[in-house]
Amino acid sequence: MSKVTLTTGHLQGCFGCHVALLDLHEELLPLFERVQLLRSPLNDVKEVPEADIGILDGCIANEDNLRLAETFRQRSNKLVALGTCATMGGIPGLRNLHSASEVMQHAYIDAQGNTEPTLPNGPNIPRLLPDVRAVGQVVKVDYEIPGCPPLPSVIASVLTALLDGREPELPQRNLCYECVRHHEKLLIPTREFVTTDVRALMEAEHIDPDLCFLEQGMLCMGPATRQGCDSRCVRANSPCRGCMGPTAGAHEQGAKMVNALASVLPAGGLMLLEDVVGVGYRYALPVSIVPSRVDRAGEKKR
Amino acid sequence: MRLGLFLSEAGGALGKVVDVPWLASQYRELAVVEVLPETISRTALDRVASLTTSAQLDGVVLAGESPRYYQTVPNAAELLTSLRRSGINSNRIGYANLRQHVAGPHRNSPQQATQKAKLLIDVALARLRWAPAVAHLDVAPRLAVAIFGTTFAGMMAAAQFLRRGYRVTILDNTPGWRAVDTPGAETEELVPTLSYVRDHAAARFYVGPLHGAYGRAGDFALQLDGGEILRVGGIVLAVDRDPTYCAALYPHLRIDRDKQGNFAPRSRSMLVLQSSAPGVVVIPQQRSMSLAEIALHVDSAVLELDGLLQQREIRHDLLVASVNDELCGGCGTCVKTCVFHAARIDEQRRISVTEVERCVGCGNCVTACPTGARDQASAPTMYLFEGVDILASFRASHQAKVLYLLCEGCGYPALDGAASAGAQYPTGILPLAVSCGARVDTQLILQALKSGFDGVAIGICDEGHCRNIVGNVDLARRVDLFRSVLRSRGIDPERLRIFRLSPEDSAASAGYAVEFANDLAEMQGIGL
Repeated sequence: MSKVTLTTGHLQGCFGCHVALLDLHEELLPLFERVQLLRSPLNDVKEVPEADIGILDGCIANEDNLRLAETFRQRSNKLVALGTCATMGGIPGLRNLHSASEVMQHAYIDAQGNTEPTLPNGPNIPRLLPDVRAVGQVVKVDYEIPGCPPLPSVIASVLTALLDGREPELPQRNLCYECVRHHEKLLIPTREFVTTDVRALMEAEHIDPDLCFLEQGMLCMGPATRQGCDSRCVRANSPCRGCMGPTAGAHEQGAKMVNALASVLPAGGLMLLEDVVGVGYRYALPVSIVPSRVDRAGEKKR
Repeated sequence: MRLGLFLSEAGGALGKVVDVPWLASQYRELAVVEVLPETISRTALDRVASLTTSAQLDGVVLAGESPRYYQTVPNAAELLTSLRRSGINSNRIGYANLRQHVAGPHRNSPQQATQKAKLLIDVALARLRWAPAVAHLDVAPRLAVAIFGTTFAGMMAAAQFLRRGYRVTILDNTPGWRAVDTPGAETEELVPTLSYVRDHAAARFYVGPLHGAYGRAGDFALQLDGGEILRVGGIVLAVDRDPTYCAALYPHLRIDRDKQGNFAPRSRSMLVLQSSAPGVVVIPQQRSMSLAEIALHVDSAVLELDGLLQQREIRHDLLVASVNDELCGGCGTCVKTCVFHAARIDEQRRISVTEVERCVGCGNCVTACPTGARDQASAPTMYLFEGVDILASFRASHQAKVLYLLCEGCGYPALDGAASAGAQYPTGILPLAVSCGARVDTQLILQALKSGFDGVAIGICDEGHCRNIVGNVDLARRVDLFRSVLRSRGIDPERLRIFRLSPEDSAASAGYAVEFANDLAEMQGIGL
């Protein structure tokens, strides 16, 4: 039986999603009995051939990313956006709070350590696009695997489904459904805030490892975040930061979390206010309703 | 979906401002488009019914009159009954309020008015495409009534119901009778009535607080002391000038109070004593009334409620919150949001469910739900987003474009009232009805500003007047947090404004909006 052909590409990101694929370790072996890797940063082949499945990680931040994404779309039968950068813009998406020229100015001129401040310029240097975007905002994507990074097992399950000719099915609820912690106050049908104490994680003298973070006055993005990560952070005593992005029923995370906090923990909302974008839109700013600042320097006000 | 548009000329009011033939011509793709001079005559009703049936319509837009016209003008409600009999699900009847939102306030801008009229019809059609068909519940009415207030009016009403064979419970928070200085009424005259009620086997007195209430006309549940649940078919509010008692009952009975804090019926007529809730009638304050006047009011109230409860069945459309059981993760936000205790987490399934008996369909949980698993049948979230985009396409020349969200309880009636009183305001103020301030999702505000609105105004009920008790409170809490989201995008939070409105003071609903539009024009540099 002929193998399914696979290509992977990397756009803008930390490459952690490719590492997550490698983290399947020995489970890669049965997978690669069915799949032939044609082109990838992993085998350092540069040219993009036609393939049954193309996988892209990273977001679209410069012209080079855009070209590569378009090439992958043209030459892949099925295109998979792997990881939060690819599906939602990810951490690099936070650049949307500034104009491209502001960012270049800061990095190459103003920042400490520039001994010869010069803006890079040249025919081989890809220009930054005005906005960071998710892959699906630029080309048609067939499958999305969110996560920063996605669980290796989730990547394997999607690939296996595609190899088997099935539609991959990823769980759709919010993190609370798979979270290891339990609710107490949130089960009681009364309009009382779950607690009046609000604290940052670092301020807590003791963190109850079994009780919901919100009920302990600590902001957790779990309710506004899609499940599928096995609640790794929460198990490790770290509240969810929302890296799986919003669920399919929400238009975005930030505003939805504001709506929810108003009922459950308004004081927790104050923690949100200290860093609205960093808390409410850390991973998914480019796919949010207003994906960038409307008043960036050097741009016409929208 | 086979849709029909019935465009009422509102007795000629519409044609004076709007190009009705042009408007009708824009909808040739619909199964039915019919222009009618009005929608209240026998001819009109028959025409609508026959067209609806022969074209086998799935949904209908009534363009012309306000939806409140069909709720408050008795003959007009006939049209809705007729539509339902012709097979239209009650959640698939849409409205475009061309009289109050276009012809009334834009007398001098016919071109813009006509453009706006088209958008309002488009919004109504969008709602039909998103709105699910709703199920209904047929309730066999209980022949039992609860009467609040040991007043003369309360006792007279009690006597009437007892004579008709009802079980009657008279409730009050203090023992004894409520003294009334009724001119010309000697207490002795009423002694026979008082004795009749007091000694009747089917009458009962309860002195104590009301702990909660839920249910629907024909089958209400009142939570009394000691965990007792009193089940009745109808409720009479005969409390006389006691704002404190009314304030204590309001969170459970949801009936609004007037400026003095007392329960008041919706209409000023002596013959119509309905409240905003079916099955609850209000006998207005009696202190300045003669005995004869009190008796007249009592008769109206009893006739109203008796007429309702003597039906074999009362039909209730189940416009309750829905839960997408593949999206809900059981976070519990809805459980903490719902003031009616109508959301709970099912222990087995670990997701939220709606208690149909308690849900009033206000939409607060839909807004609070962080996954978008919950939705509102009367105004699905996707419809509201599409509605905002449709209204945003309005071409406003040299004026600010304002999305004016109006709550069903106060905002919408207030703006209707302003138009009826002749208020004129700029065409760029574009109204969109919502069930409650609590239904205003901050995502929707973002969408509006992104789609091109210069500002968003939200017209809601004042403190203590929300029929969903906490709608105004929860909107304020959300907006307080939300302003920082706007700032993070470089959007001036002053482009969002909340108006506290009262249907009695309708001029303000237009006045505030005009002021806001002017402020926005300055902020955005429009019209310079």
